[in-house]
Amino acid sequence: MRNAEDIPLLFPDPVIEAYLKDVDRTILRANLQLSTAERFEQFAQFAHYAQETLAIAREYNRGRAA
Amino acid sequence: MPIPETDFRSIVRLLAESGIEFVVIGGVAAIAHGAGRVTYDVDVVYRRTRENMQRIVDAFAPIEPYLRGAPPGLPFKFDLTTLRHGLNFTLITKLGQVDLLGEVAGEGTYAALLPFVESKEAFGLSLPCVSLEKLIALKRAAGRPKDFEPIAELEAIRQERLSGRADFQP
Repeated sequence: MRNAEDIPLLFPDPVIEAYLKDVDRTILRANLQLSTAERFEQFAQFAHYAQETLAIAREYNRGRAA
Repeated sequence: MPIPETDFRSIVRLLAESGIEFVVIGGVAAIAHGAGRVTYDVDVVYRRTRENMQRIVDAFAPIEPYLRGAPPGLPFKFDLTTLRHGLNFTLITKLGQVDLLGEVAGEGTYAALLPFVESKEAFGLSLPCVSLEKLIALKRAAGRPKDFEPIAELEAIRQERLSGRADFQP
């Protein structure tokens, strides 16, 4: 097994390498242990929550503007 | 027009069960490969044959597609003529946001993407998604600063995959 962070990028690019330092690999590793179907189920649940939160925020802002 | 919540499950089902020839790119393809981001739309590259565009028109009619961000009341008609005369459509529908793309930067026509398609299981269906490497190439070709973070995440996924961990799923 190799150290992932030592593997060269597909397209070496100093800008992307700078962003790469902030990528949370813990989340990625957890996702990669799931099947694709499980990844989509997890995503659908989170997207629902995120969209509901956005809708509440929009409604709140509309109320404040009125 | 209020923005409806994007119902990914229903959009995937509509696309997969209507016989439409398409390839999933963008955020949904990134999810398939293990990305941890949230996305609010479904981006697909569709085949621009008359038959396929007619399938899209027929399948999308019940979900009332309209141009996303356009003022309400425009005489927009989502029919074969509109699809033939246009190329890329960013739509809002009753099921949420869908981007129908005839071509994207980086040789991104349906035919050009076909060799890079991987079938991924989503919501009990088989979904044709672009490969991780091609997805990175497409996002780079788009040349948008907002893609720097997602590209870095996809490059990290590729590194993790190549590291050879036995507990990772395809």
